[in-house]
Amino acid sequence: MNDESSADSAELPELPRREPYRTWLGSLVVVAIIVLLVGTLVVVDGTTSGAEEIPPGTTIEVGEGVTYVPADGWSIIREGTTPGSTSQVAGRGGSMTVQAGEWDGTAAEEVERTRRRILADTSLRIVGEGSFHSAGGLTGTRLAYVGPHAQGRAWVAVDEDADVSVVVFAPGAAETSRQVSGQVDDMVDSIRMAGAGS
Amino acid sequence: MTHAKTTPELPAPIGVDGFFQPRRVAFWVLVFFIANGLFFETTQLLTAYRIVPTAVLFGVFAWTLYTIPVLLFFRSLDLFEQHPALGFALAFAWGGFAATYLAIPANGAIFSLASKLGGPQFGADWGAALAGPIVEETLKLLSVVLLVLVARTQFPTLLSVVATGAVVGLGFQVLEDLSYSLNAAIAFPMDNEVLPVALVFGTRGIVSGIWSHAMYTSITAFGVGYFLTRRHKPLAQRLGVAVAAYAVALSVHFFWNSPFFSDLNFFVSVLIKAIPVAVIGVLIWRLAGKDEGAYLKVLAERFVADDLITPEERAGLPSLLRRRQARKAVKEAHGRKAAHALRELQREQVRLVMHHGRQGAGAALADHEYAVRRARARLDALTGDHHARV
Repeated sequence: MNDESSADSAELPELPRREPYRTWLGSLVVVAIIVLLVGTLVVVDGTTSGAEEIPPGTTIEVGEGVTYVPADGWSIIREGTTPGSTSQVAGRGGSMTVQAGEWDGTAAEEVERTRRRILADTSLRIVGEGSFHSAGGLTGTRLAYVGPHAQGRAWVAVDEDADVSVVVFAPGAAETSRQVSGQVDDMVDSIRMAGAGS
Repeated sequence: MTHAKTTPELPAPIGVDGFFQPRRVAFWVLVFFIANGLFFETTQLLTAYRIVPTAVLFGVFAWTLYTIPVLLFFRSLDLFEQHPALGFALAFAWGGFAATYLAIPANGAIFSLASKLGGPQFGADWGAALAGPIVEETLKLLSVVLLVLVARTQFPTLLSVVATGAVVGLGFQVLEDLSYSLNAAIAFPMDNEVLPVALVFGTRGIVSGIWSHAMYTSITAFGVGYFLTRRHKPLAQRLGVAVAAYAVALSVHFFWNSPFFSDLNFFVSVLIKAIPVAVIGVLIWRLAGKDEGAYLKVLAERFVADDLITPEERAGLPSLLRRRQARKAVKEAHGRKAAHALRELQREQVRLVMHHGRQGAGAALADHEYAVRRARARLDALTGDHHARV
């Protein structure tokens, strides 16, 4: 193929000419491919459910020895779950994401990082902050945030001896967050950290 | 009316179009998606700045710094002689802004579908291998097609297309790596924003950088180049090569992103996965280089006088290796400055030959000839002789 490619160009190439030409058809094809590729994938994903029903009382292992029990009627959101670090469940107009990970810092630093993650969405503001102590033995800081279209709560707990942190986000629409708040509290109470004082 | 039909058409003037073509739809399609991508990327950076401000500043600095030696390497291969700066700027901007902007929702959808249909573990293992090749290679390839539509006369050789593809890929790679750096900083398990950026820089930039998007897009661009420049070949063959090149780029990207060999040591895994990309990449760059050499040689023989490019220099003109050997010989005999002067002479000779191939004689020819003579005079002053060098 080396010889061929050299041979192909061995003759004097025709000098280019600045002829007018149209590009709308080619451009249309390019735009159509982009719309088809991106649009189709987004639409198919949007119409495919990733919810997986959970038998009542099932204990879910998030990672780093952190477990919790989803509320009855809630489903695992497969696309929001990363094995070993993140678990997401949803039900009745709300969702809850539990993140467990290594954290080689203080609880205050993790709270600050969580606060910045929430406020990265400039439409949100933090309206409440206080300590919490769950029935499962988790101790840490609870944040409440609101925005024009959503509101939610976050819980941050750090086991500084085990270098493990648990961050829970429970966002929801303003209309439904009150109805699901009891179930979310129950799920937070069910969180266990291996090595935590439960 | 009848008279108009029988009037012979005047040939258009010899020359190539620039990349600023506001009267061509393809130009505005390019600009539209680049502008959207730029806005999106800026928004993303501002959002990340609210979470990890130091990481954003350090990341932008580090990845900008990373781009410079790569661009200098491209320059050392004379790739930037292929097009005006605007062409490469558009290529880089499409890769960095438009392609990444369009890839994010599409990649997200494939990751999500992989998790929904195969479970979270399958999504985590195979999401990148499924999403990356299909979405990213297609989006990057489209920019090469758009740039060809904008100024098709700028692409007479395989190298002119492959070089464009490499710059598109580089743009994508740099912005994607910046994004990965910031994600790593946000999720890093300690209150340190510099270390995660440095780690991603080391793994994705240094260890994996060469075997990444610049190489993949070079491969797909090679197919486009073959289709464009081999007009004397049957359409099916040209189309076949273009499709095959795309399929090869998809395959090596899939292999790279796949979880294969992930249980091995990181460096061993990278080495194994880099082999196919390296072999195919070197092959296509060699083919494109040979093609370019033949193109330069035939133009030089036909159009350029011996006092501008001597017979010995003509023999070395098609080969980067022979030009480098000539510089090495001059460096040993006359020092670094003389070698640098020879480099300038060689570059001006390439520019002169390419000017002939693209503009014919044209008004700027005298400028190019003068540049060659001036570079030769500088070299002669440093070496003290008038002998030609290959």
